Amino acid sequence: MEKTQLMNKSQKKEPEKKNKSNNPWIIAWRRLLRDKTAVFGLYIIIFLIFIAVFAPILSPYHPIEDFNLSEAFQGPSMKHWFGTDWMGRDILSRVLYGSRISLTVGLASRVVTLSIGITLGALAGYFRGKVDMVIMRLAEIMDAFPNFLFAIAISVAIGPGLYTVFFALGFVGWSGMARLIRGQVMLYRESEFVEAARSLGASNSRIIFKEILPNCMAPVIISTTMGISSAIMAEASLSFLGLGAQPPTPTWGSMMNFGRQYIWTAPYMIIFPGLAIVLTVYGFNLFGDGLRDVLDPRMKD
Amino acid sequence: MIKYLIRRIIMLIPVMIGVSLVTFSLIYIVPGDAVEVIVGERASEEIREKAIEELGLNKPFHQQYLSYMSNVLKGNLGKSYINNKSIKESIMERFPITFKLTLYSFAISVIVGIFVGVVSAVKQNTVIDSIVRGTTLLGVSTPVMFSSLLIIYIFGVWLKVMPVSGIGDGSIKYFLLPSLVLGLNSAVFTARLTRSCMLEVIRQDYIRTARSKGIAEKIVIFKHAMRNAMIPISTNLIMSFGYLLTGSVITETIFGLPGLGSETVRAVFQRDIPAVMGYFLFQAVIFVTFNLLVDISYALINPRIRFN
Repeated sequence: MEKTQLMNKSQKKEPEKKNKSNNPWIIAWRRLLRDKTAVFGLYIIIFLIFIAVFAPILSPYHPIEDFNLSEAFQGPSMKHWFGTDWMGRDILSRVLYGSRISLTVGLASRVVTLSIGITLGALAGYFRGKVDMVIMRLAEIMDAFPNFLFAIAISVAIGPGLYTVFFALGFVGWSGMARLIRGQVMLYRESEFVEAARSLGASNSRIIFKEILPNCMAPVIISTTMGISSAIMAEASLSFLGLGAQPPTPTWGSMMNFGRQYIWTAPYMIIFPGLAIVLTVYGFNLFGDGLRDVLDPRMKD
Repeated sequence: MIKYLIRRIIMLIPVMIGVSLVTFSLIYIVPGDAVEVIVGERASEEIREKAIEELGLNKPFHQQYLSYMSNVLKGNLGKSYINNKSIKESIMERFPITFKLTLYSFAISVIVGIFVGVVSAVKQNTVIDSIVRGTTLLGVSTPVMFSSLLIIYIFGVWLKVMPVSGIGDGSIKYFLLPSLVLGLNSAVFTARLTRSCMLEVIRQDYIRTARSKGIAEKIVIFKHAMRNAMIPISTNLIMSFGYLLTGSVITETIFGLPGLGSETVRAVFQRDIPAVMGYFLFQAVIFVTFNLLVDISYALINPRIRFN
């Protein structure tokens, strides 16, 4: 612990010499922009957000309504760049629209993880004692389930669908986030600036939200970015098993699931949605790796 | 150490009770009547009620839970609603398949992962290192169903040298492709971990001392650095075995292997409640056991944890 604090201090001092701005976030951002791979990841993410937002304009066909059985199973051509599926729907359009589901799930599930994880983690770390014990026991129970199986169980229990995926994938991550926050809160709750706020008469909630949590943001941001990519991956797997957003909604996972039956004759039905998943997850992983190097100097190699 | 062990094992009891309660509650709220699965949708009211009575589904939640758990403690996991087969038997029949798959995958993951990771760390900041970093990150980003389907296509359409689906007579060749997919999927994580652990160790003073004494670089790497880097790596490998053991759902489904993973999916979709319950409990026990093994190995390495 001593070592980390020392390193944090040296990290805070360092920028004052180099840059005029001493806002650590601006400094971190500048350093991130110097990391070529992280910037590449950022470009991929921006590109995907662009596609998701403008999918209706970019898509040559409607992903659901433009089906034409006489044009089913066509390989990639000028008319249909990525080919057509078993209903004659344009795969390119469906892949473009699929980005909406993946990105929304990635973000929405993180909102669920963050809200449960931060609340419970802050309570446990700040109040300690019985509250801490109960919350940590719950976290241990959570950790006893293999994550993906638990997400499957939740999806089946409340019925498959897009909102279920948000919740299921968000919920399985709460214990990790709670542990992270708890550790950070315990680290800072005895520090001088918290002591100062307390002696000025600040309420518990003010101390937690205005004093302690803003200081824990770096590891939270790292773990959330990494969490987005694993949530996107898990959403694809759930959809692949038929437990995601239901047809005819275009999701990359379900496109691969239906394409699986035609793998021998129409591999393009699997390849394009598959590549879309790889590109998306790769983008977030590159960016997350870069973020970690910038925000957590200990991890840098 | 023994004290620590006993305390950790006792702490597992409330966790397992919690796990069984959570699973039972999840299944309790599953939409669609459990009885319909057994008697069919068009069964008369009389038959339905008789089935409900027999299964005790009209009893309140806590009674159902307690009677189920007392059976479990007696070693009776109940029978499947679908084929009336004993759940325990199904587990004993299917788990060995999942275990085999895990074992082969684990071997691939360890051999490939550690080798690639060490090479990448030793050649840090060279072309080899960048290639390894790029490929492993790409591997981490590839969903296992995509790599499975690609492998099936490559071997089924182009190479045609190996069976791509099913278990056949259960010989090793039916396990090769799924193990390759699952093993490489896990190897990329192992490689990344090995690389960062090795770099951490190589930076230490005693490595510099060893080098300055003029010891051959090979010996420095394999004898001095590897040995110390293996400590964090091996703990993570134990965990990865646990993940593989419970995480082969998709691979088994795609390759048509009748292991516990694909069987769990079957049970979940057919709302085969006793089966789902049994499989979940069994897999949670395995997962918890591996968590415990990881903690024990940490405690063995780092005595401070034992007294915490």
